[in-house]
Amino acid sequence: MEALMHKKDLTEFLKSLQILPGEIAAYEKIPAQEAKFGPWPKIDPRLSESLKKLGIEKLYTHQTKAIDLAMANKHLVVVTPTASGKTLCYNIPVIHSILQDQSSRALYIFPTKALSQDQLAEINAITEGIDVSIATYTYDGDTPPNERSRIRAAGHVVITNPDMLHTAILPHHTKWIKLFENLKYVVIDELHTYKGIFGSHLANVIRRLKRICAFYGSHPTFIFCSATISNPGQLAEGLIEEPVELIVENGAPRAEKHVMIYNPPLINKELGIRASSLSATADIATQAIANGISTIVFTRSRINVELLLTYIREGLKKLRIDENLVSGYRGGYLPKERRKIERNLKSGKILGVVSTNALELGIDIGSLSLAIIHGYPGSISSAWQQIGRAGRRFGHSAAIVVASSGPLDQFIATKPSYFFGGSPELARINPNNLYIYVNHVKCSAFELPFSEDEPFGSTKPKEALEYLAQYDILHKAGSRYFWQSDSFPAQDISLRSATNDNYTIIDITEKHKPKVIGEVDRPSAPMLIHPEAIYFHDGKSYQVTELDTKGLRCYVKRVSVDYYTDADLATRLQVLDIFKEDGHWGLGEVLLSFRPTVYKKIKLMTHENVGYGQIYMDEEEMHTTACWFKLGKEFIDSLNESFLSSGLLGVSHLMKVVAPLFLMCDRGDIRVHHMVRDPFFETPSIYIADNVPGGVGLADGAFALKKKLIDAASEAIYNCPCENGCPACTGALGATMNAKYATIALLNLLSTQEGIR
Amino acid sequence: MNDYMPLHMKFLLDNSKRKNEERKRTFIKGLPAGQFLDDDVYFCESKHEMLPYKNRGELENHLQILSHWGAKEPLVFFDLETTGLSGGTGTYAFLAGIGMLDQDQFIVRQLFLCSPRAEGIWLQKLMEIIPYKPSFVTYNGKNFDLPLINTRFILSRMEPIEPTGHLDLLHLARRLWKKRIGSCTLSNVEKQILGIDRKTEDVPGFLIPELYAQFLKTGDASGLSGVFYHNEMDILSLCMLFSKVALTLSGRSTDPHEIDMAGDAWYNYDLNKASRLWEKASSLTPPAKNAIWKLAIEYKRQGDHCEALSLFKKLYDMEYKKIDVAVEISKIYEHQLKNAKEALLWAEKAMDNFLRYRPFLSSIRKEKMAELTKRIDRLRNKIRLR
Repeated sequence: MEALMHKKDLTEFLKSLQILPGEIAAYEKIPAQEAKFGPWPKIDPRLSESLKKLGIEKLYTHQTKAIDLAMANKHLVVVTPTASGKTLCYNIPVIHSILQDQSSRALYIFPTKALSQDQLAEINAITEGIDVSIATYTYDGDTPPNERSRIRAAGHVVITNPDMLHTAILPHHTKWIKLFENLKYVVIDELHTYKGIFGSHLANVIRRLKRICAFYGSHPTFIFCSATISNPGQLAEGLIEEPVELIVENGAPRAEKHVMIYNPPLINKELGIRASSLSATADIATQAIANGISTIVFTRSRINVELLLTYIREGLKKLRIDENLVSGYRGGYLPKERRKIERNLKSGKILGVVSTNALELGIDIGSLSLAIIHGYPGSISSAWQQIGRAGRRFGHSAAIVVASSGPLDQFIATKPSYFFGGSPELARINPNNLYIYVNHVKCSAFELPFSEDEPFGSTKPKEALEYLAQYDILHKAGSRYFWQSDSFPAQDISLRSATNDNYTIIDITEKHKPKVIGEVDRPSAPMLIHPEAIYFHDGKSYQVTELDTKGLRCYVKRVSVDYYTDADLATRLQVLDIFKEDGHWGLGEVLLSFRPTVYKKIKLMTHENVGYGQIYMDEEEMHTTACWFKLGKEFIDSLNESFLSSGLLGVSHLMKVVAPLFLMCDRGDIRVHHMVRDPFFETPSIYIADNVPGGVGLADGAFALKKKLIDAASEAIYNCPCENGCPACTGALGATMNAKYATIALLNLLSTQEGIR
Repeated sequence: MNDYMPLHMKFLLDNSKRKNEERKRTFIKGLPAGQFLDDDVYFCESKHEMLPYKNRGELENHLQILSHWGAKEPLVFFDLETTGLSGGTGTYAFLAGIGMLDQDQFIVRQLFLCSPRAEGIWLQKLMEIIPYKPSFVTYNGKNFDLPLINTRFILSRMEPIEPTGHLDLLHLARRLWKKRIGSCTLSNVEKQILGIDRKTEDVPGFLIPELYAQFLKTGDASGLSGVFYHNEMDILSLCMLFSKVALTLSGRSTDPHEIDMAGDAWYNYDLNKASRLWEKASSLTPPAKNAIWKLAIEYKRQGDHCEALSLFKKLYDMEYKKIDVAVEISKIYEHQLKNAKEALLWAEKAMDNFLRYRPFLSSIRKEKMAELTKRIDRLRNKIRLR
């Protein structure tokens, strides 16, 4: 690369990409769309005036519809792309209701603290123009104790997050009488984030909230906003267990956007290996930043964030451009670090950011011109969310999806219509996951005593209450259950994952000055921070010197190495109970135990395996739900063992990639396990298990899909250009001579045995 | 939704063999002497000599003193025993102790909740035995007992109590004795300040929730006798402490530090009283140097510079906060007595002390040092110009 003489604008830059060695698999121009306006709603004239002062003189159709429904006290969900003015959908009815009745209250729930801060600014902009005091506060972990009592008594609009609602507001509801007696609206934004465990928890937090509201005699109207998923109405109805009106048509105008899928060149057809998508992404990003185009790069994993960051910085250095123009942004960074990055992005101090999906949410980072998506993010709605991050504020923008060599990415590269025209995924929750459910019944019993036949949402919690009473957590007297334990249950229950704990990463390169540099959630620890693992942070590599599993501390030292590590996990699975069976498919409760055994050292840039090491860590166990399918006994005799084992390996690897696509979950949310000779069923079988104690319904979802999963796997492997199997389709370990053949044959068998039945 | 969920629950339930048995409430074994006011509400009363008060006049006097901190008639000494300390809506009170001063005796009433199902009636009865428009005397009641009982009223859809006054003795106890005795739990204050030793039948506070839970399970209240005793002792201690605090605040003490702190307590309400107490604290042996300092600052504020100067000099000789004191003296010489030479002399004394401790200076001190340097320069200029 040479130093740049002339800076290209976005259009020129996109044109220049034609010379890339790979293939532009798809290039779509999403046309601009005219705005559609609805009639001005019947709202308080003071509010109308204030909006007009802010330049809001007309409202889009989706906004007027939402406002009318909200004012008629109908629960509703608005599905809106980024920058379509969704906040007015709830701010207008809420402010109107307060202007009509000063005692009226509203509760806003956002998934993160950062989003609450943005929201506060938005609502204040409207209320400042009105001569009536409307008190809006954020109430979260950062709220100073001396302000809390004022907020509890006087806040008209309280902006908080599910975690605060769960641990600080609901268990102290008597201090919030004013709020609960007059609660008119509950606003839940970013609805699509409440899937899986988080959503299952939230559904129960809402059951508790509604129970408390009923105690104080209020019946709030719920307003949801969601990014595009295929079942927003169903998800919202699942969360509040009441009918919800759905608004999908968007009246906001849209500027033109170019979306491109880039497939790096095939370098080994036999093995189906393409040039590294990581390097391709880094190259495109480097060029974009060098041309002064503000760019966001999304990638799936934390390690990729760090790798891309390193590559892009090196690229910029070569061009003699300030390497600090680009920054990383991911879950493991400390909150203070992240706020600083957000500020710098907004102010333009940095031009590029490399992120995991932490930035997918509507955090306001100003307008970016280009989104580069490294690898298909696993779900269509996620992909469109990421694409939407470019061009929030003004015109012309572009997004480039760089396909990895994974079968799913290749599937999309060869069939882009799936991506451009496909329906987005389902968001699933399972509020009645036993672990989650019992914990929230506990919290709810702490908040208000339960009567014997009192419902909890749509459930009858009597059995859970009896169970808790027998362990002396509740005391049953007369026909009611009273909290009896000397503890505060909400404190021990985290909504974000089944396990609460994080490992703290401590840099001890300088012995006397240990420094906390990040954190890793406990379930990821065996894979990411086992002893001797290479941990990347802010583009620098560290080696884990000690993992303190009791104190949850991980000590690392700066090292200069040219490899990263990838751990192998040994998994055992045992079926405990069968819930449902249908032909060769089944669903039930399983015990999973896993332990990291060895790690591979993989060279940066070339990704070749340069060595391995042993990992000594304790085994962990988990009870969860799994879906399985088995090969009919009649086939076993006709297949030879090595053929069977490489076929199963291939199929289970394909399941790992294909299943998350249909289940709208992260690859880490499920575990796929196979057994050549299953001790329980005595036949070869493959399991898809929820990677969460108790399960959140992913296995149920897989069970419902059944043959569709097999078909998708077949399609993926047929579309893979390799000849005999490759790390992408059959998996790294399965890349033996006849892996692809065995896998295809097995898939055919599985598919026909379904057909026979 | 998982329709198979309840199956699991059954499995978990069958594992546990304990049965939750309903018991008859007509008779409860092991309760102290008293009577049922309702099916599940039990009442006991005990009368005591008015230990701290020989006569009404003395009480009036103490009430007068403590009125600044919220004491008012009718005094209601109030303390709750609860099912936990964690707060929130899940913790409830099962025993309320109320102490009242009658003409010639101290009456302790206790109201016991035999089952949480009767909480509504228990709360009604509680309102009946608390006098009209009460003024509370508690220990940490502002943070714990009062919000807790009011949460209970709200949950039973009754009006919360709003006492006309509320003296929380924890705050004053901390101010007066924290430095001397460290932990200011009621039991420690009782032991170290009031010199009371409880009988062995007393139970430590942290065991109380568990003992009540045991009672609910077994229906046998004999395990709770220690709790009743504990609660009664708390009420008696509150009354003793009320008197002890009032005495200390009036300066009836021989401990200079205690008197100094009493002066601090008065500072916001009655400056005269505060000064008199500081004076007393500085005249005792050993004198409370803090008190002299505060007194000197107070004289300076009122414009009595001579008195202030002599006190500061006394402090300097006592080697108390030498730098700050020397700076104060220098200020008085410079601004009030217009004696630049003397002012410079004291400023330089302050600087000497700074230099001696230089290696240990904090950033605040460094700022002060910079200020002092400026002061010395200014004074030198003044002298030179003359």
